Amino acid sequence: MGAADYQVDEKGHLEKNNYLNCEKGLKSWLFTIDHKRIALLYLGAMILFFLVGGLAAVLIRLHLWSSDSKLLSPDMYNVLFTLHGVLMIFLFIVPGIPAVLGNFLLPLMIGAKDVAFPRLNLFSFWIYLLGALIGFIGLLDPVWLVSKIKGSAIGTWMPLDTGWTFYTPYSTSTGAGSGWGTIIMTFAAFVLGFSSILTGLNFIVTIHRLRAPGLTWFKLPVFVWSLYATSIIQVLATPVVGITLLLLIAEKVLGVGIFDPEKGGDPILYQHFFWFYSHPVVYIMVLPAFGIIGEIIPIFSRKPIFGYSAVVFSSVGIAAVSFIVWAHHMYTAGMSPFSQAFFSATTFGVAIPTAIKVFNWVSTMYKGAISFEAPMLYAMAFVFLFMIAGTTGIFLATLGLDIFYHDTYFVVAHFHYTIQGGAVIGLIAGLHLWFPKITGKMYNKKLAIFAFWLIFIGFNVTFLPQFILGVQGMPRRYAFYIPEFEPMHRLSTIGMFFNAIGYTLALLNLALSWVFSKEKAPANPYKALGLEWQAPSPPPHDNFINTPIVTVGRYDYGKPLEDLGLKGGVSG
Amino acid sequence: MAELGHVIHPRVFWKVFAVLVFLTIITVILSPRVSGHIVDFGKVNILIALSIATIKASLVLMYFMHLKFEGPWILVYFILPVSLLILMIAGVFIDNPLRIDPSPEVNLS
Amino acid sequence: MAESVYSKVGGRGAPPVYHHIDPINAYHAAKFGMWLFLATEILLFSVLFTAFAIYNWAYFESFQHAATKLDWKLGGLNTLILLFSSCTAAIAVYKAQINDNQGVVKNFTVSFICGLAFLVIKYFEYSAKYRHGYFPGTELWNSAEFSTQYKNYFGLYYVMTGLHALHVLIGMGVLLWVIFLARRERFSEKYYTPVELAALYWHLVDLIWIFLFPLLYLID
Repeated sequence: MGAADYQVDEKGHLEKNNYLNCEKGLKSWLFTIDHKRIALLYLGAMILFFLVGGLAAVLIRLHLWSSDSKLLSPDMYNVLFTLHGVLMIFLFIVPGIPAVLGNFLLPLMIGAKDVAFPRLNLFSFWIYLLGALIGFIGLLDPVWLVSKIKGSAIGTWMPLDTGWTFYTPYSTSTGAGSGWGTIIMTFAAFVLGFSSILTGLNFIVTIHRLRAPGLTWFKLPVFVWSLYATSIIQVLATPVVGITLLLLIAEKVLGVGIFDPEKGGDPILYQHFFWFYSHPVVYIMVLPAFGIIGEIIPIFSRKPIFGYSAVVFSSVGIAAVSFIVWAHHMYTAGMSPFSQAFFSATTFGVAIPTAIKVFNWVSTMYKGAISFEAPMLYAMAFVFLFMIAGTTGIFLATLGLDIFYHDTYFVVAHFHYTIQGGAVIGLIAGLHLWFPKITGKMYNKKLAIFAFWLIFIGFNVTFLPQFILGVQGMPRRYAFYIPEFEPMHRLSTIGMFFNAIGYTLALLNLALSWVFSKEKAPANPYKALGLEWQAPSPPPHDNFINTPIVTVGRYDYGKPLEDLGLKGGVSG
Repeated sequence: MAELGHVIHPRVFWKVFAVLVFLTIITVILSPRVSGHIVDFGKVNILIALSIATIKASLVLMYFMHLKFEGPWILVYFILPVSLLILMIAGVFIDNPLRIDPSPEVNLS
Repeated sequence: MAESVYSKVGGRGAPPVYHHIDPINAYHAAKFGMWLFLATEILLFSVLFTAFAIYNWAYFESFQHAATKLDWKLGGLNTLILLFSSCTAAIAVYKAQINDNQGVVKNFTVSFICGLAFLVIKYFEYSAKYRHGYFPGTELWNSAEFSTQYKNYFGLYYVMTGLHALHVLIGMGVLLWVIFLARRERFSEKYYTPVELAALYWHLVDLIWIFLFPLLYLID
């Protein structure tokens, strides 16, 4: 296929023969090895799970409207918060940005035609679907379902009620879920882990081996660096939770006592193994978002990123330090005092590289020419929300305070600020930024901004009250509470509605714009520097018409065009 | 055409194999269980066994798996998981042995 | 339908043609990818080694006593078998590097048979344990005399050696696949990536056993 086969218009839009329409039919999608199509497959599935997990959240918050609510039974409440966590974490935000924007953009950003192992990439997606399917089967609670179909239902629908953390000894007891529910769901998480590992493996090799000529390590986009750091964590941390969950299953099936105290096991050992993965996993969720923000702010400030090296080293630094803080989730579990102190100290440490990034983002904006398009609004919201997230993290890192805050709504608010205010906002920001590149169309800007404000206001109204509830002592995962907490809970529930409507509008805007918009996106609608903007919108199968050559630095905004060799202006 | 990967002649492999067999025999002789407690260094037994195992593993890694002749990145991504193994063991061992348990009949120490 | 991205051109022994990467880079990328995968396997077994380490410390006497129920001679034999199979696997890579496909077949077949022997010995070990009652579900296991600490030891023993045996089985499958390719003279000095990757996986199986053997069979 030569350049003549691609009719790119003068603005860089490619109407025919782009990656979306070069092949048609369901098979061409399900069996594709094109990283761009795989990214969209992930996106479709993830949005589905996000909506279902969101529905669980809506039900939870509706139930929590009253202090003695009858909306859900206590058992059902436990099932719902477990499902909310499992769906949102394992099926949505862990694959998250790497699976969608990472897959789509990594080869484009380094000037490659695909990732290092395209078939493995497709395999990762199928494993992801397989894990989701196994989870769905577990969700049905097959033992109960079969007994109900046969006519004499055993108990009620109870797929899993341990919380997404599957703590022992409850999870290894017969009470947790229907017994089989726990086994199936933890096995689903095990399978999903493989998807994560293989994606990370693929990205590491891609970044090492498929960079375009002239693209040295310290010319890489910060998003690529963040994907690299994320991939290292994916490869190194995920196997730990995989084997831990297998051990959980073995304990239930073989009846040995690795984690069950009645059988001579140590339940805290389970927590050590679980959090050894589950702390680094939160950085899998948020590091790519850091990268996206680092891409958005220079474009919409028309300024080079401040402190590129610091951003790079802090990304890898966060990945490294994330492995030595895990037991800050376990201060009140019964560990030794030395452990408590040690992990408190290291947890303070991980705040440092994160703070460095915040300084870099803000300094990038300083004296820039700022335009408030939707991606920039999301990026600025990210900085604000992550500031709150990070500083409340310091509260939790402090041993003396965490004794009170652990397992209260303070923790719930903190992690929603980091994950939703951080990772999810980052994902939405990135979807907006690269929407023209991915779809070849433009979204409705006014609606995007309106949806943004709904999300931002709704999110804060939902979760700021929860910090207050936590400080006042409201425990997490409780279906009932004392009447004194009702006002804050009601405020939180009201905020949730705006949050939910905001997300729905934002996603609908993107989806409907894609289908119905007639506005053809140019290759470079924001006049940004960077390799992916040199590809047509949408890109062809092989990403670039002509082999891209790195001449301009990705963050060389503000330099005279002649110096950059761009006398004719930036394309687009 | 230049060779793809580093080539090692089988005679090297056979020599390494011989050393590995020898080390295995040594490990067995030095174990108190096999020698009927004639050879018994007490607490150090486990260290001796693990040290010999580490030497054997290093030989397999460096020669059979060509690690001695690979680039730096493969070495980095081998050392990283091993470091995490050490970290994991350390993390657990600063917990359990140092616990102050109010109910001694329940705990592990 | 777009052209297949992976097409074999040239004669036998030529590397596959990929649309996104040249053959030499593909070799190095695949090898690097395999080492990353081995890293994940190391971490998988790390959890088991850690669990064993902490319980060995906590239940030292029970673990010592339970370990006497294992037959170190069979464990030692298995060690020698795997070491030998590792050696032939490394030689197989050499044979591919000098265009000797039949050499690959012979050496990997030896490794395969060694793996089979390993599994057979493991079967004898497990069935002996079952007969003596050191197995979940047996009468002795469920009786009061079988302490929880014993159950802990044997639980870890079965999970660790069982998971390892599963990897031996998977490794044998991978070896078999490469043997079939080599029988069709697929490899040459210009392309032997599957041989090298299969050998690397097999070496890992050997590496894990190098540590399992002293820890489970010899520690006292």
